[in-house]
Amino acid sequence: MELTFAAQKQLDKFFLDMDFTVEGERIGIFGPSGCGKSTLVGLIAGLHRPDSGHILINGQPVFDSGKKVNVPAEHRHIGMVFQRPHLFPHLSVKANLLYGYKRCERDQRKITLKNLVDVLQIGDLLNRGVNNLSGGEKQRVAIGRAVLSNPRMLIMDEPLSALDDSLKFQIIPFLKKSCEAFAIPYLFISHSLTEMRIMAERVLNMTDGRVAGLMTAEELARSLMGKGPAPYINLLKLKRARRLDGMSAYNFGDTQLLISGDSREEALVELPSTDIILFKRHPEATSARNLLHCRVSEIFEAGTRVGIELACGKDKLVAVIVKESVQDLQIGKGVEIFAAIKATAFRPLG
Amino acid sequence: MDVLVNLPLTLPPVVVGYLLLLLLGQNGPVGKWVLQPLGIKLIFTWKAAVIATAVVGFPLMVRSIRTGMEAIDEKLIQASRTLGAGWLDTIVTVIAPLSVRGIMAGSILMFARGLGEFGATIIVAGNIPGVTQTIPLAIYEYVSSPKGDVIAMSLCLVSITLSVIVLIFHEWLSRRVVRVD
Repeated sequence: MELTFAAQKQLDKFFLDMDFTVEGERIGIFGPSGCGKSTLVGLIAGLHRPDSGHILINGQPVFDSGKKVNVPAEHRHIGMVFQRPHLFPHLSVKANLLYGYKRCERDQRKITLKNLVDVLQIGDLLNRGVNNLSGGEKQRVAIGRAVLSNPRMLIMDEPLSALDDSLKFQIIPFLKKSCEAFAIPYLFISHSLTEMRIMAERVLNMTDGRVAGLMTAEELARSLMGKGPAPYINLLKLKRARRLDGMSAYNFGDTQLLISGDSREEALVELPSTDIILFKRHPEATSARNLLHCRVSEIFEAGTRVGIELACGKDKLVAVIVKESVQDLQIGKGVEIFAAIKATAFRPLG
Repeated sequence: MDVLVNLPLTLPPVVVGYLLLLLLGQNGPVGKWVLQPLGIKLIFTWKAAVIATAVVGFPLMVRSIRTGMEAIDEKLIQASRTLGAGWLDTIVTVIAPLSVRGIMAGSILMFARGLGEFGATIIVAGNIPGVTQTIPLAIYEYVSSPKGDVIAMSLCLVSITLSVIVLIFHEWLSRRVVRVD
């Protein structure tokens, strides 16, 4: 998908003026609350009209003030998942799901109800009313309704921000799975860096209605290091758990990580970069259950601190230390080093 | 427009009736230029009573429907449009069904107001027994005549019964509209 946006919109005291072209299947739009993310997606989806400029999707104009083109929202084929499910309360789950499908031209109907129900695991909800579904079920149905309209692109406008943490990480796999299974490119809007890193490859960073940068999610995370009180968080996708010494052991690079808590076949865990302690030489003994032999693959500035990228085989971690520690440890690119991490420092997501 | 729609609500019904008489009467603009050429006679017929009742009750219905529509979450309308429904489709499949309670409440209010309508009706439709005499007009006539108290009281009971039936019907419909699984 290629999205070209060069348009302006004045809303009371807020002025959105953006000019960018972004390519990719998983695009993120990141920025603090009130920076204009929802206004931007409203303009792309055709829910609001720009004052001037043009918007192209895959080279086709959906709005062009010069050529007087303004494709109405219902003809843009852009599905939307909102912050809240916003299911039609007078319709059953099945009727909600089929609302967009029935309005899609027959030759465009590539995704069927049966396929979708399998992916989202909502078969047993079909004949129920939407008023007595749980929060997670409602959001799954909302995803399904948008996907089943067979859109050329999906816009997810903060679809996780109204959910609590555990529900959020239950919904994320459904969001990803449905877009991947049906090959639908998406725009994922969020002010959460963690969500952005999980959902997006390319991220458009916004501030005050303007483009602040276009980068990968990882570059965005690193660019924000040291700019706030929150440390950089390592997001690790771990596989093949087994029980060891009352903990869960997961493969990581050419070694393993011991993590407190339940074992899962696959786990997404976060590890604050400040919870990694570096040693120049092998410490003879340490209370930390993980001692990784790593190689420094990159060193970068992180505000007043320094980010150290550690390679443990194929997998990588980022530790953040103060500049004095860099000198004390004589850290340089390619230097071998030991990293100690407590098993309790990891936080499973979901 | 808003003022025009709501005007019958604040004007005395007699004034509304008189204005209707001026408008629809033989020398009124609508009466002379539209109704007469078509051979339609409204004044002092049951049709005039219906029009008078409708005009007086109409603002109540409009206000009720409007309140119902304003309560609809705008995101539902946006969702409908991004799912491929045009404006008319959205009105028929989302806005109207979600306004049903407002429409029903408005209709019932309008009907209830119509049951009590007196001033405008008597001006444009008169009080002709068996033709344009409504319950309030009949009650007025029987109360004014000697020995008419019993019939007036009977008509009052009919009025009360009708009102109770209307309210029960409204409540029953409201419960059916809210989908409970």
